Amino acid sequence: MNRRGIALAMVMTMLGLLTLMTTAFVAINHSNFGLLNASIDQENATRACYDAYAYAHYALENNKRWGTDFSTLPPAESADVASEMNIVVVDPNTLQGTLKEPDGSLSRITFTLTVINNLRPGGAPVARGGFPTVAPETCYIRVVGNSTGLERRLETVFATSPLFDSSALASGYIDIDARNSLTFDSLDKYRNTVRANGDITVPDGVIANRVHFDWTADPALNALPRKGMLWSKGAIRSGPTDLSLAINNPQRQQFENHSKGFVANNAAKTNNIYDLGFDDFKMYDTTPQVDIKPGKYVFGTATYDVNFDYQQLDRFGNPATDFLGRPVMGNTTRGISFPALIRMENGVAQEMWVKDGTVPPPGAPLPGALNSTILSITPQQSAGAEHQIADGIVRLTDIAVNPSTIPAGTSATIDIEGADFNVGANTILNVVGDFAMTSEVGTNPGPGLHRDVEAKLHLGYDVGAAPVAGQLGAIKASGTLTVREVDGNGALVANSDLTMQAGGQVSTDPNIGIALYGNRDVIMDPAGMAPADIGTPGAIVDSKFKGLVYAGRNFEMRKPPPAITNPSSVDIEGALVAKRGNIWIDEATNVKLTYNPIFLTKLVKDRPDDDIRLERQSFNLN
Amino acid sequence: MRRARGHTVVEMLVSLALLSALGMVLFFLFSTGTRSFRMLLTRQGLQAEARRIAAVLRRDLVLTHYRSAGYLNRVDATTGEQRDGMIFVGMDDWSNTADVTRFDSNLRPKWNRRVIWYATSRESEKLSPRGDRKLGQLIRKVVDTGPILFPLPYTAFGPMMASPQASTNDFKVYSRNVVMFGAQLDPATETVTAHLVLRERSGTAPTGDKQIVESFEVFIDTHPENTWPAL
Repeated sequence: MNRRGIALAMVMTMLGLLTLMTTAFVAINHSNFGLLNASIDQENATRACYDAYAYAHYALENNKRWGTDFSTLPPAESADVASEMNIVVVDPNTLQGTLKEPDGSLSRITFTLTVINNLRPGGAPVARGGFPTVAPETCYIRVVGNSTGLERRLETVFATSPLFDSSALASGYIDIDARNSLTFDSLDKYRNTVRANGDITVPDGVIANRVHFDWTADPALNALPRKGMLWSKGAIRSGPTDLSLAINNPQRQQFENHSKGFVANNAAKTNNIYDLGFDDFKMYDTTPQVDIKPGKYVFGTATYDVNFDYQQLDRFGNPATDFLGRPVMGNTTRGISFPALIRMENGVAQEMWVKDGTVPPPGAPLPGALNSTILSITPQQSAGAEHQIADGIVRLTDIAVNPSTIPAGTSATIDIEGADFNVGANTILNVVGDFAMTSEVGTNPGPGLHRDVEAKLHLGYDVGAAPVAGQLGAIKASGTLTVREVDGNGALVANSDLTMQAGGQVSTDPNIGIALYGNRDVIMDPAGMAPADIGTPGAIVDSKFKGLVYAGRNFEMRKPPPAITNPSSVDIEGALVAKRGNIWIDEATNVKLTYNPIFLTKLVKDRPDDDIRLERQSFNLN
Repeated sequence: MRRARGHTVVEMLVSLALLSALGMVLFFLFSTGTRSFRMLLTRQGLQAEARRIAAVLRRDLVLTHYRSAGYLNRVDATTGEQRDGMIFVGMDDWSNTADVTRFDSNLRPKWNRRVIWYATSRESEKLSPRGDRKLGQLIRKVVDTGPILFPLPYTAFGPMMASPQASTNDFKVYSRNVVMFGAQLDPATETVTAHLVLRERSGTAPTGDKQIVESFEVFIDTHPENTWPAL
């Protein structure tokens, strides 16, 4: 072989090597690019799924009927959506979309969005080929994202849920001072939460162990090491300890171990609380309503002087005569007291009701023992006589004697002697203006209230009877509503403040849901109670409500007067809501707040679309 | 014919010096290039490993229920590094939502397994002779428990993390380069955070007395999507 042959062989060898290297380089690059593209396509398909899901969720939140029939709906509801994606209708349940590039051109990323909207209440399950059966009051969404043939599938289900999801909810702070114990319970299998957008302050659960979570919805739940949660956008304090600490801080863990609940402070998002309007209650559409006049209905003891002519008896019991043989006559004035109810407006008495026989008509005998020296008496009532009662004056001519029902035809009855005001079964008393029912204070001797005139409000049952399950009575005032003791089944609703000046027990029906509603403040203020009241039969010190307790602003439970040291408890089952304000319970002995969705579910049913609250039930990405 | 003149000694020495210098430069460049290449490979390897871990862990967490999540803080006795463990509920098969044994009528998953992610300490590295003995393994273990009625934390999972070989349950080693694995829960946002630091040797420094190591640190923040009812 000559030198040229050697050179050729070397050149060929080198060329072969170079070819091999180039081929390997290209192959490896191709493989890398393939992997890279597959990875990018997977990311793109996932992005398509999330984008379409976000679009569907947004659309559904704005229109709960969205997806029931795409053939009659515009495919894109806003310019924002149109700038992000191009959407076309495939069939009444299906949309097909293509994501847009930043310059507005169509990308290679597409998606197919299928919606089976069965949110309408009372519907039947919807079975559609290739899809899971969609239960009533749920909405199924499937998105198949595609990027250059690579697909990912996202499935999710939304369902209607109670308007309120916690035993206590406040836009501001929650401050509960329970001197003995504070218990958060739940009759829901999934929810046991207390939420505030402000701070939460509870009694000492770190050392004194005064805070407890229960979960009586199920024994298995109640046996769990963690049963509930305090959730706050601000800080969470337990007695003197600020629990806004690291998640593994010993004090925080001690609180969680003792209370058996989680602490979630400084939450990143705001908890939006549903704004329940005064006219939103369906209960008023189906229940008979009767109107009563507004004002302050005051139970009290009316006293006034009656002037009497009398004839005297002699020592033998015969009518006495003077030396001329004429009967010995005299005249005297005697005070008469009788239980009465007076309706006041702006401090002026408008009407008064009294019990039969308590005010003797002219010529009638005076009640009570007669003076042995008096033969007979004749009250001399005159038109225009004035009687002081409570903080007003009523004239005799205004007295309507013994209309035990006010006004005629309504189901509100009054037992004046017992100072009972009863709202009859399945009746709503509708008051245009303010309504107050209180007792006369100050005109009676002795400290505090006089038990004989303690005004009691009974809901849903008549005088002398007992509450009957399912028989409801309610008072709805377009202004303020003020009562003292209250018990029974039904609701108290005020478009302004709702004030209770003593304890109370109100249970509502799950089909109604609302127990107490004040579109401004809901206040429990037992300041007027005196030690003599405590322990007296019929006196209600504790507060126990079953149903939704809703305050448009603040819920306040003020402490009793210092003289009252008896234990008092607060027990609310349903939900306690302070829409725009705070929840403040001051110096109660025991407080128990139990979440019970049964009182909150009916608020959602048959309501306008925008009032339905949706919750995502599941999420699956394959 | 004129005889060709040879190179002088000086010329030879100069040439040799120049060639040596050139050779040293070439060697230095080659050495540096090789080291950089190895560093690059190591770094890419760590990143790929972290990405793979993140993808699997994130998918596990996206599909789980936040309130089922629990964690144990553990510290490696030798290095003092965090080697936590976390546990949450999962399901063996998510592919068919029409499967009524795994999904209810609202497609809520019927949880049937616990998923555990944990990093081992140095002691359990004896069966893993490769690599730095101070590093731990990152293990994903699944324990098929049957139906889990309520997705709440299972705290007594410490023994399950003792040694992967001691268990017959399904497990997979996702990394043998774990310096640190930290788990954190944020109940306010219902977010699970995993903090992972990986490390691997990529050679020795030019002086030969110092190891060159590459580290890669990643935070994996995930909001479990099946957290119903939501906060």
